[in-house]
Amino acid sequence: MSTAVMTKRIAEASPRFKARMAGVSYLLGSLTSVFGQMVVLGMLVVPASATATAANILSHQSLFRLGFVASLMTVPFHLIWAVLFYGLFKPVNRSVSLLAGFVMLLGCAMWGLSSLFHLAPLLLLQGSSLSAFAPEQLQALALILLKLNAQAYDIGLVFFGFWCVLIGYLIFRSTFLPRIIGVMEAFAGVGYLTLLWRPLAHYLYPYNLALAGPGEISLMLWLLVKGVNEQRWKEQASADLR
Amino acid sequence: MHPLKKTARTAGFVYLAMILVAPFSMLYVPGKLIVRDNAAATAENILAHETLFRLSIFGDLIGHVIFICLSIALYRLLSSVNKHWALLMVGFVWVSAAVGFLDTLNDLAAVIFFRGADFLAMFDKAQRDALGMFFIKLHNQGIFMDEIFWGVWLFPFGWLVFRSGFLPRFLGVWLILACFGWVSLSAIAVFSPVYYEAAFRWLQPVFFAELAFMLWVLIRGAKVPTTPSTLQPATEGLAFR
Repeated sequence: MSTAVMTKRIAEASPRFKARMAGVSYLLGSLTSVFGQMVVLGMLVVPASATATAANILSHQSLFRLGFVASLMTVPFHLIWAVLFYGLFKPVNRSVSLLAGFVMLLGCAMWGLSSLFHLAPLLLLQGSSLSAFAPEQLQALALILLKLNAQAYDIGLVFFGFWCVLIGYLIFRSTFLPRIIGVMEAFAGVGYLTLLWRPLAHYLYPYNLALAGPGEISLMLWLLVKGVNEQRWKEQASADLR
Repeated sequence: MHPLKKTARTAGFVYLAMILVAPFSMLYVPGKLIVRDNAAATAENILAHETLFRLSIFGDLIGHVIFICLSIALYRLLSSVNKHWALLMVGFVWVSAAVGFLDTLNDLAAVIFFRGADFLAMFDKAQRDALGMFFIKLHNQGIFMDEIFWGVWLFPFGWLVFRSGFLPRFLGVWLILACFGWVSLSAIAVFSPVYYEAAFRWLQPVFFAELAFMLWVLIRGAKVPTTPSTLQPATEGLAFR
């Protein structure tokens, strides 16, 4: 395909194409986030032992750095996703779509910040200018920074949860996506919102995060496989203009 | 002056302001005060020139504020081309500014450790210097991280310039190349830092894209369409529609 044809296609992209692209960025954003923050750190961090954690990180440095890159790259994917959703749900309710976009922006800023804590332990464990400290002290500091990373990531997830609730509402009020997905997506958001109160989140774990599964997976698959009902989307968009 | 041309000039002036402010905090002051891998010498330099160091922190913050203004100026110029790409560009810039803002906190933390205080008395001077140096390094890591965003926002930006019809296409292509330049520079900083400086030097021609864009809109403005067309800049500020 020539570039002219391709650019034309993208410029005149149909709502279905945009919905599919949103599904793709949804998938990539979720995979990078889960891989970076859960899989890699789950493998390397030993919450009870700073020494074991430090040894794990130093012996799997490339994996650790890859996890960092994944959890940073999740930010652009989430932003692309948020912009596409803004365009998709604007006909349903303009202000709520805009609010959702801003909420996601804040969550992304939080995740960007958490990435800094994610990278910092390497500086401590390899630092050449830190000889004034005993290795155990540096290892303890490194573990604290990893815990800060987890907390900052969770704060980002709270914003993400709020976003899910808003999107759930928009899906419910839309005519071009199944309402049941909207309800499940809102429940997924409520699951993430439990992270607001850590003791509660701990008490409900893992059920609060399991709540996210049905809504998130069904929405992602629906977008990837079916996109949106184009006819109904156009009807709602033209009704909005009137 | 045609409104399109005026919008282009405004964006050019905001860009110029950013390009003038950035090198002071990013290159001049760190180059003068920070001695690589020598915590004691760095501490001594920063304490001897504390005002200069604080000015560079302030310059950092102002730079991010100008970056946000720039994103809005460019949104006004380019949102008529494609609103969604323009929104994506703005979103990337805002997250970059947020990350950059919080990153300056590391520099302030370093000053607290270097100065020392009663509540830090249980650390001896060598330990305080080491911790301060750690925060200086963390600030640098934050810059490497932010380079991803300095890159990715250029993709929608370059794309919009390419598609605009009122700006030369080569600038769009150049900006998109710069996007890949920054992203790969950030990857090099994370995976193989030893090559960082060499890569930074080799990628300079690519990074000049932004300077070229700025000069172009400052000097030439935008090509005003001869026939009345739909290409008009958004006149009501942030027209989120």
